[in-house]
Amino acid sequence: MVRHFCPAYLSLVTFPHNMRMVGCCLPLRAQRIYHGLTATLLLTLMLKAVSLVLPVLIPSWRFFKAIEPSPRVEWRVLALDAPAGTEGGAWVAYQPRPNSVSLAQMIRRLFWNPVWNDALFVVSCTERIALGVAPTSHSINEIQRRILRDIKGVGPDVSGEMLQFRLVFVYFENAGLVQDVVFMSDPFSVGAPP
Amino acid sequence: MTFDLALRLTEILLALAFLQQCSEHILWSGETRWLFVPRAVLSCVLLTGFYSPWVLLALSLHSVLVLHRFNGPYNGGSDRMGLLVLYCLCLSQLLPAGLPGEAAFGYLAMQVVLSYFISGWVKIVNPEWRSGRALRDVFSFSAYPVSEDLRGFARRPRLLWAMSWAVMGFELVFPLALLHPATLYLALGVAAGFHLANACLFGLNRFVWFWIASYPSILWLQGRLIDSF
Repeated sequence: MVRHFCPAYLSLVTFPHNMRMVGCCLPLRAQRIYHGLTATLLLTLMLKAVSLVLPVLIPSWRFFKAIEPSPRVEWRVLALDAPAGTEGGAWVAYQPRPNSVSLAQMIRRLFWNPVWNDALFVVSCTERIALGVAPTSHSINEIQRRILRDIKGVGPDVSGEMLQFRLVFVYFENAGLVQDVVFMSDPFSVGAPP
Repeated sequence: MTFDLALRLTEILLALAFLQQCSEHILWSGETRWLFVPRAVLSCVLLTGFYSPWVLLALSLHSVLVLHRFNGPYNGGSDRMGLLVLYCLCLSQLLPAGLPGEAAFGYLAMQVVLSYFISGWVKIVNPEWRSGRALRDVFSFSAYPVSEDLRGFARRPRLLWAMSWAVMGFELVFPLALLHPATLYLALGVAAGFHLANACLFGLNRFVWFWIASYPSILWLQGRLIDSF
C-alpha cells in the first residue's frame, strides 16, 4: 500500500522541497525576496481562484432583472497606415442573426449550438468592456480574435489590412430605438497577405 | 428518492450536460479545444461511476482553469449552474457521510429553488415587468432572440403582458411546489418546459441541461423534509 501511494506523496512534497533547495543557494536577502515573491504569487493565484469560484457558489439569480441597453459589435476595414480615429470603410454588423429559424433548427440547437453560444460569450465580453470589468484587454482580445477568425473564413479578402471594431448599445427611448457608441477599439492587423 | 440515487442521477445528468458543452468546444472551436478535452474525458469516467469523488474533485479543479481562461463563465448563468451542481456534488461526496454531505447537496437544492424565486421577485418589483414592457424590450432590441422574425412578438403587447405574468407567477410560486410530491413533479415539468422555450426563442440551450441536472437534488430534499416532519 505504501509503495502504491509513494509517487503521489513524493510529488506533493518535492515542490516545497525543491523551492527550499533553490532558496538555500541564494544569499539571505535574495532568499527573503524569493520567498516573498513566491508567497505573493501564490496568494494572488488563490485570490484570483476565489474571485472566480465565489460567484458560482453564491449566485445572485437576478435573470432579466431589468432590460438594459443591448450591445452590438460592428467592424470595419481601415486604410493600411491609418492612425486611430481615421475614417475607414463602412461599419459591418458582426454575427448578425438570421431572418428566421425553423422549429427543426431550434430543436437541433438544443444539442448543437456552438455558434450561438459563442455569440453569447461575445455579448458577455461587450458587457464587461462597457462596465469596465478588469481586465478589459481580455474581452477586447476575445472579440478581435473572433472577428479575425470569422472574416478570414467567409468575409471579404482583407489580408494585410487594418481592422477596427466598435460597440453600439441599443435601447428604447421616446417610442424609438436609440443607438449609442460606447467603445471604439484600436486598429488591429489582419496579418500579412498570403 | 434516496440520497445515493439522487447523487448518482445528478452525476449522470451533469456528465451528459458537460459532454454536450465539451462537444461544442472540441468539435467547433479550435482555440479552446484542448482546454475541454480533460473535462470530456472526466465526464465519460463520471458516467461510469468509478472513483466518482476523485473524478468530481478533478473536474472541480479543472473548472478553475476554464473560468480563468474566459475570465469568468463562458455562458453566464448556465455555466454557473453547471459548476454549482459540480461543486455541491463534489462536496457531498467528499465530506463525511451523514449530515455534512447531505447539507452540501441540500444547498444545491435550495439554490435551485432560489434561482426561480429570486428571478420572479426581481421581476415583479419592477413596474416594467408588471406592464409587459420589459418582455417587449427583450424581443424588440435585446441580443437574445435567435432570429429577426421573433422580434415581431414586440408588437403583441397583450400576449407579452400575459407571458410576463405567467413567468413571474410561476417563478414566485415555485417554492410552494415542495409541499407535495405531485406538485413538485408538475412544477419541475413546467420549469423544464420554460427552459425549453427559452432555448428555442433565445438559444439558451445549456440552461436546459444544467437545470435538469439539478432537479434530483430537489426531489431528494423534498422527501428528506417530509421525512423530518
